[in-house]
Amino acid sequence: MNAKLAAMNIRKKYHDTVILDDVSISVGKSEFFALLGPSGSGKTTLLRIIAGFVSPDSGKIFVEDRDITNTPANRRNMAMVFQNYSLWPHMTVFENVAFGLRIRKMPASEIKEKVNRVLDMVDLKQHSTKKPQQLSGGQQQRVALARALVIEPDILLLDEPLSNLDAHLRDQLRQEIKTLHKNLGITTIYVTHDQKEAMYLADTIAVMLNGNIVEMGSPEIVYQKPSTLQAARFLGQLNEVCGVVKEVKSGLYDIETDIGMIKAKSASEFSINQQVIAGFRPEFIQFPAHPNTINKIECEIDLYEYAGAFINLVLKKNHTIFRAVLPAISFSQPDKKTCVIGINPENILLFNKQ
Amino acid sequence: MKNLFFALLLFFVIFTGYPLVFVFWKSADVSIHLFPIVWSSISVRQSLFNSIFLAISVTIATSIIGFPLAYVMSFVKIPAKNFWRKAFLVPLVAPPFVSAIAMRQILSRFGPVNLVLMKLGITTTPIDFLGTGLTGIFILQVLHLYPIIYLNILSSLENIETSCIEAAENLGASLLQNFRKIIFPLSLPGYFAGAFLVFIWSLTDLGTPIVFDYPNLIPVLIFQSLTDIYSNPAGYVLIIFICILAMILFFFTRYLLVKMSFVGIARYKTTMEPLRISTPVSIAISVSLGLLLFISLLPHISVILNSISQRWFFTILPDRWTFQYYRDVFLHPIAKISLINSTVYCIITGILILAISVATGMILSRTQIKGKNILESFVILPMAVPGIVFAFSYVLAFSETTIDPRNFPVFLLIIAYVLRRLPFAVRAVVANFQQIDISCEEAAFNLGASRWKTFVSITMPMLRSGIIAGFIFSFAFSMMEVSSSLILVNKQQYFPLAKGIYQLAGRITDGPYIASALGVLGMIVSFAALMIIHRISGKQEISFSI
Repeated sequence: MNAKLAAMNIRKKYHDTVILDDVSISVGKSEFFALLGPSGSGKTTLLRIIAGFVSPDSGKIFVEDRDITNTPANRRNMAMVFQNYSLWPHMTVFENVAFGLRIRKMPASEIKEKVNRVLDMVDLKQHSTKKPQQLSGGQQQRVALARALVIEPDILLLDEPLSNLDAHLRDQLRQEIKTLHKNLGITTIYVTHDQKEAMYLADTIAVMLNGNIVEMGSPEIVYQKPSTLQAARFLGQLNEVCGVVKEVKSGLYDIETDIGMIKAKSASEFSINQQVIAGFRPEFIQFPAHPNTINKIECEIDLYEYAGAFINLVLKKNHTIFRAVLPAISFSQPDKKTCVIGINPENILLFNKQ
Repeated sequence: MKNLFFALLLFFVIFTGYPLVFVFWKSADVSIHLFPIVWSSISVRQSLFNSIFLAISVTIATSIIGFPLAYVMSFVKIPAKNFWRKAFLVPLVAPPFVSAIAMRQILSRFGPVNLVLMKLGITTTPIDFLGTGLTGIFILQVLHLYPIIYLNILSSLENIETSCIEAAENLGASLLQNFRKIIFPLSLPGYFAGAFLVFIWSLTDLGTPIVFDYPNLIPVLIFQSLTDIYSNPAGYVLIIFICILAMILFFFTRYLLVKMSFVGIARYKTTMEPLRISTPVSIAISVSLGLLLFISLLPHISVILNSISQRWFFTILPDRWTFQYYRDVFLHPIAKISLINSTVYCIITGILILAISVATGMILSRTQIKGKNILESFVILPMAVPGIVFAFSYVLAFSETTIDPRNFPVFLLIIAYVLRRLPFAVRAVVANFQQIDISCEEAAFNLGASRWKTFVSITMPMLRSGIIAGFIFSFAFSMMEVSSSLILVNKQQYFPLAKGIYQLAGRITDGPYIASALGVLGMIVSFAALMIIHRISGKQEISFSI
């Protein structure tokens, strides 16, 4: 139980469409690893290659430094939770969960004990004699989870497990998955298109776009310091303004933009007069600006939206529109049409303008 | 998997490909040389005309009955709808050649129908229904075949997204406009599929004309030509004609269906409010349905009456009753042997169909083997090739071999039964496979089960209802398979049911009565099969589509 996994230089084509283009990931012991990407990005294919349902055109899969690229799926000791659960309708909940143990020829008494323990863990013990179709969606999802967990897999694979549930249940089950992972410490790979889900759950997020991993790191890093514009856009709302680099001083760039001169901090290299896109997330805007913030921008308030926990503002400066999201508690409705907002240079992301 | 694929392919090449190519090549050869001679025969020309005329008339008549019936069943609120739905399956349970035996009796010059008509004063002199022979065949075929059209239209109608109809209504379409613009066009695919089956069925039906002793139809000529096949070229020419006609129609229908295939977009089907109608209209509809049902059951009723009547001359109903013929079924040598034979043949057929259809379905829906569409074409071929052509080709292609049907017909007979039912069975299995989410199998594999274990513990149980239905369906329909049974088997010890009934019906004295009793047993088996399938699959999903 519990192993590290590495996928090296995986490539996969279907007909002439490139699904995975030289993708590598490495997942540490007990790590919760999320593959995040829009549909068609190749994340599910990568998961299915790891599970062994699809073989890669080239590349290798290692579990604990063992090459398992050619090991059939049924000998990999991984357990997968499928998007639509894939419970077997002709078996009871108990039989569904016991299946993997029976395959492993475990004695009946031990099977009973283990299945009951895991059903208890997902709070389904009283439903063990029911057929899956008698359960609600959330319960079915828990059976699928129990069926995977009971065999104590080396690696747990989850393919968009929450996408078929309604919002409330999704939140609840997400927390349960997190708690289970914390208690059991199984190495987990989780595929999702929902960036919030990935951020809540994962230790490491890999953002996939068009068959490539464009970003990999902790949720904080991929959200706050993404290195590509596509990833930055996919991970959350982003205000973008075009500009030109005017000056560089020890990693601090002066950018002339449509909303005035701004200073941005970046680890990447940009040359003078280079065209760039400056991006900043709506929640990093200070309203009103702190006195010692370097970037202060005077702008008009175009729209004010009250959303309970948050305030959404649509701001306008020189015909450029951008958004701000502010915690409602520290905010009172402005009485003027104009205001001064602030934004720290380290909260501004700089990207090459293609 | 690969080995299985090649084994299946080999099987189809030997038993579908080879005989058809053989007979086609041979027939084409004969036809080119001897066509003028055959064409000069008046009886051949007359038969061609009769057969096509009969098939067209039957298709038109069944359409006239089938369309309104399907619309009423799917859209109108009538009492006891479930009863009617089941009831209109019943005409399918007996092949017309069984009812023909009894109909000969009741449509005769002084049979019950004429007696009733004369008693009611509708006619003074008895009507000669069987005079031209064609009329009787026409009536029986129509009464037997209209459910095929009706079921196909019904299944099309039930696949229409309710929201399509509601959307038209919502945009202001009246009931009639809705019908013309939405419902009717969407029901056409089912109709064409049904019409094709009916046309080919009627064109190639051998059993009915042979019982009516009506010689001027293509299938009868083919049948007769088999006895002197080396001197009489008519069989070859007619086979080629029927074969080409059937193929053209088949591919034309497929083309139409592909062109018209509509894929539903909405995922969730809502049930539609049935159309409410006033009580008088409802009564009128119920009475019409009852009348239609009664008329279409007349042949069945007459078979039953025939089987329990001791004397039935010049009276509307038999005047003396007996169950003696049911006892004779188990005593009379022909009846007994054919009943036992058919049971054995059909059980073997059912098992073979199961094995082959599951294997084929698995390859078609779960593998990426190159050339699997060739396999699929072989499976479908018997739908385009009429049964009579099939049987004819077996007699010719396998003569002088160890499985020569003239010496030991059982082997080829069973193979013919299997291949005839296989397109329907494979389609059902493939549909079943498609309903099983492939990740259910992957889940088992993922948890460590081998491919075989996955198949046995996950796939098979999930296919179960389809498999049971497939077995029963194959069993029952092979029981009543006519053309292969009549053509392939000539030795009494190997007689199947259909051949036994045919032989008995041709005898004087008690032959027809025992034949009727056998027919009734056959009908009971078919009816029970239909009801069980109905029960298992929960709907009228009986594959008559192409």
